Amino acid sequence: MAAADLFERAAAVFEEALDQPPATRVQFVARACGDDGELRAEVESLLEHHARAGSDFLASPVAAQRLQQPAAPAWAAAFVGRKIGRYTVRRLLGHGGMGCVFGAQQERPSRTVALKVLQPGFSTPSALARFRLEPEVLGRLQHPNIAQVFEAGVHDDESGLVPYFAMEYIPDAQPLPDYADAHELGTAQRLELFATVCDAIHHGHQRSIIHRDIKPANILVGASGQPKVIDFGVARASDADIVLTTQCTHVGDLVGTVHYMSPEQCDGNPAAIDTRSDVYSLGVVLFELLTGAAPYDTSDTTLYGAIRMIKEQPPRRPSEAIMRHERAAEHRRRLARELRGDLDAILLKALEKDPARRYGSAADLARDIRRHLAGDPVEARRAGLWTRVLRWAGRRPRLAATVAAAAFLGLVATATIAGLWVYVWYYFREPDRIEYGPENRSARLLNRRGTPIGTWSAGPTGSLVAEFVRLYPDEDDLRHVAVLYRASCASEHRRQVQLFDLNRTLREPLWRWQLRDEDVPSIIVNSGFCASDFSPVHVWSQNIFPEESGTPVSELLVWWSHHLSWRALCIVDRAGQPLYAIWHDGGQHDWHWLPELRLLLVAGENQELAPHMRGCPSANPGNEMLVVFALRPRAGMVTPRTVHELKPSDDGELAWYKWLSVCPLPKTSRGILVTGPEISVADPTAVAQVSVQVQTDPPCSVSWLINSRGERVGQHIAPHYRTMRANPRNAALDLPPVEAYELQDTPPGQ
Amino acid sequence: MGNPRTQITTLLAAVGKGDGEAANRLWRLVYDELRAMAKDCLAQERKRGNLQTTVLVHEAYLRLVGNDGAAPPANRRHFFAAAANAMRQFLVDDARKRKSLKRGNGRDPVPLDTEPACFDYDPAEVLAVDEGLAGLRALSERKAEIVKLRYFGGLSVDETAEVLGISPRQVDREWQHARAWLHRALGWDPVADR
Repeated sequence: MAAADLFERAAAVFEEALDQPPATRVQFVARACGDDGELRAEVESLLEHHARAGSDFLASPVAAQRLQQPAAPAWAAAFVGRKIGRYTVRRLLGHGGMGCVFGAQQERPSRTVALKVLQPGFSTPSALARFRLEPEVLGRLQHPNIAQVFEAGVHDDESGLVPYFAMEYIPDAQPLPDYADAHELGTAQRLELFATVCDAIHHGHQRSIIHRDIKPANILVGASGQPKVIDFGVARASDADIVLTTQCTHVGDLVGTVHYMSPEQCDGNPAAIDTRSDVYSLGVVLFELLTGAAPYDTSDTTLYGAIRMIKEQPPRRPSEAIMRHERAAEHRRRLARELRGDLDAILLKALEKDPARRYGSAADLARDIRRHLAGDPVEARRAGLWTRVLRWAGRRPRLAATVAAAAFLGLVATATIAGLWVYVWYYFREPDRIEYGPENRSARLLNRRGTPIGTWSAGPTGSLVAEFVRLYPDEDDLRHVAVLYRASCASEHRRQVQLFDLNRTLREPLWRWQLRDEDVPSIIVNSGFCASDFSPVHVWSQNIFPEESGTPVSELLVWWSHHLSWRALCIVDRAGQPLYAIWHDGGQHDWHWLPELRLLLVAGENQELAPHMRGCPSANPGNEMLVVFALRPRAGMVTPRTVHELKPSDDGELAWYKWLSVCPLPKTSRGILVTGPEISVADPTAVAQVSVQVQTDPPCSVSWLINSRGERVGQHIAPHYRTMRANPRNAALDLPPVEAYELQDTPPGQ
Repeated sequence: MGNPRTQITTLLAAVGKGDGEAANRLWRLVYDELRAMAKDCLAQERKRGNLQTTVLVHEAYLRLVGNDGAAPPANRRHFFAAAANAMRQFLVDDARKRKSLKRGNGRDPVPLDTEPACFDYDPAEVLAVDEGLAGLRALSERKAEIVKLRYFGGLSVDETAEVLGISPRQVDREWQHARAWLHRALGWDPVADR
C-alpha cells in the first residue's frame, strides 16, 4: 500500500515538474517534496530515467517509423560470438546501409570497442586496398570530440574478406538531436554543443580528412555529455559516395541518409567533394537539431525525387519548419522567434547549393554560431538585397520574369510620360510671340501658353519696337529679341538698340548700342542735325558677311531714322560691333538681299530733291521721287558717308541707283517695294521684282522683273492695274498707263 | 458464426454494456484478422514498400466494422481498445515464438520466411515491456492501459485520449511518467542491454 501511495505522490510531483522549464526543475522538486526525502529521491530517479529514456524508448513496434528502418541484415547475427581480428564480437549495437556495428571486446589493452563491419563480399578490390592504407590517416585525428578509430583492417576467414573498423566505444550513446530532445536542451545549449561538433569536423579538415557522411547517427552524445563525431574518414575508405552506394545497398536505406548529402555529393562526382560538402551536411544536422524537421520534406518521395529536391529546391526557412515541440503551439512560436533572423541566415548560408556561397569552413560556421550566441552581428546576414533578389528570381523564374517585364514596362511608361511632360513643358515654355501695349509704349514676350515671359517698357510717352532676330540661321529656336527704343522715348534707353538672349536673362541685354555724333556724316551735321535726332526704327537679321569660321552667323541690319528726312542703315555683328554704315537722304520702303550677288536692294524715297521735306512750305508736297538702289556692303566701312557721295559702278559699293519714272505717284500710292522674283518666272536673268502699289478700291499694283543691274526684263505684270484703270470709278485718279512705270538712271522730269 | 460484420457490431454493443465475455470474443476476432493481415504483409511490402502499420489497425477496423456512419463513436473506442489488446497478444505470442526459434546462443540467423514477420521489433523488448506492464498495472490501472494502447496498439496520444475519454494533455503527462517508471523498472539501457 505504501508503494502505491509513493507511486501516486511521486507521479503527481513528476508530472508537475515536467511542466517546468528544465533549468528550474530541481528547485521545483525540492520545494514540492519539502523534507520528504523518500519522495524526493523517487521523483529525481524518475526524472533521471525520463531524461535517459530518449525518444526511442517505448516507440511502438507497430508505429510507422519503426517500419522504415530495415531489419538487421541476416548475416549480422552470425557474427555475434565470433572473433574479428583482435576483437570478440559481443552484441549488435546497430546497423546501417553499409554494415553493422557491434559491441566487441579487445583483450590487450582490455577495452570495449565499437566494431563496424562492412557487409562481406560487397567491397570492391580498390576499396579493400584503401582499407589497409587508411589507418595512418585516421591516426592523425586526435580530438576530444572525435571518436578515435583504433584500427581499420580486413579480416580474412572462411566466409570471405570482411573489412572492419575498430572505434572508440561511447557508452549510453544517443544521436545529438535525440540527446538534446531527451534533456530538453534550449536553443542556446544546442548551439553550443553543435559548435563543438563543428570544431571537431574542422580539426579533421585541417588534416585533409573529409568526413563525407555527417548525420545525426554519426554525432553521438554519451554519458559524459560531450558530443563525439564517429566514422570520421570511414566513408572515404568505404566508398560511401552515392555512385557506389546506390549500386550496392538497398535504396530504402539511402533515403534516410540522402538528405544529409550535399548537392555535389548527390552528383556522385568525388572530385567535386571538399570540406564544404561537410559544411552542408553540418547545416542539415543543425537544421534538424533546432527544428526537429529536415530542410526538405522528403517523406513522400523516392530517392531520385529527394536528390532532385536537394539539388534544385531551396530549403525551407528553419523558422517555418519547426516541428519539435509537438505539445504546445506556444513553444513553437517562441522557437520560431528564436530562429528568425540570424539562425535562419546561418542555416541557409550553410545550405547554399553552390559550395562557394557556403561557409568556407566548419570553423567559419562555428564562429558565426558563437557570434550569434554572443549577440554579435553574424556574417551570414550580410547577403545584400541584390543577392536575395537574384536568389528569389532563381527560385521563381517565371514570376521574376513577369515582375521584371512589368517593372520594365512601368519604367518605359514612366519615362515616356515624364519625357512627354518635359517636352510639353519645354514646348509651352518656348517664347512664341510679342504683343505690344497701346501705342507701342510697351512690349510683352509671351510663351506658347500665353504667359508673359518678359516685358519692355518705353515709358508713358515713348514707343518701342521689339523683334525676334535669328542670329544663327541654322537654329530653329527663337533665341534673341532686339528691342529698339525710339527717340521720343522718355526712358533712359531712348534711341537705343538692345539685344536680349532669351536663354540667359530678360533683365539685362547682351549689349546696347546707340549712334554717336561722330557717326553722322558732316553734310547732315551741317544741315543742323546731330546723333540724338535719330531713332532706330527697323531691325532685321541677315547673313550679309561671309564667316571665316564656317558657321553662318547673321548680322543685324538696323535702320535709323530722322523724322523728316535722313535714314541711316547700320549693320552690326552679334556682339554689337558696327560693321557697316551708309546714310541716305530719304525714306526707305523696302529692302531685299541677294545672297549670290551679295547685293542689298533698297526701295524708298529720295528727298534731297524734295525741298518741302526740309520744312519749305512752298514746295509741292506730292513731289516725292521713288528710287531703288543696290548696295554692296563691305565689312569695316563705318566712316560716315551718304549714298549720294558714291558713284554707281558694277563692282563698286553702290552698284546702281534708279529712279521711278512716274512722279508724282497717284495720291493713294503706298510706295515702292522690292522682293524676290516670282517662282513662275522663267527668265534666268531676273533677280528681283519691283512693285508699285496703288491705292484704288480694291488696291492694285504694277510689277516688273529686274536683272542684277536694275534693268527691266520681260513684261510689266499688271493685269489688275489695267482693269482698275479702265474702271470709270477710278477715272478721277488719272492713273498712268502701265508702260509709264519704269526705272531710269535720272530723276523724272529732268 | 454469420456475417463477421454484424457479429462485430453486436459484440461492440455488448462490450459497451460491460460484457466481459463479449470483449474476449471481440479481441479474438480482431486478433485473427490482424494475424491474417500480417501474413500478407511481407508480400505487400515487397510490392509497395513499407506498410504503414498504424494504418493496419485502422484497416482492420474498416474491414471488420465497416465505415458505417451509423456506428456510434463508442464503437470506435471499443474497437481501438480491443485492437490494442489483440496487437499485444499478437506481438507477445510472436516474440515468444521467435525467441524459441533461436537455437544455441542466438548465433544463427532468424529464418525470415518461416514467420509472418511484418514488424521489425526486438522480441526481448516486447516481452520485457509486457512483463513490466503487469507491475505497472498493480500500481495504476490507467497508466498501464495508456502504455498498452500507445505501445502495443500503436495509437497516438489523441487516439489514446479518445479511447480513455480523457484529455490528450493528461494522456501525455501520464505517458511520460509511465515511460520513466518502466525505463527504471526494466533496467533499460538501449545500448548495453540489447
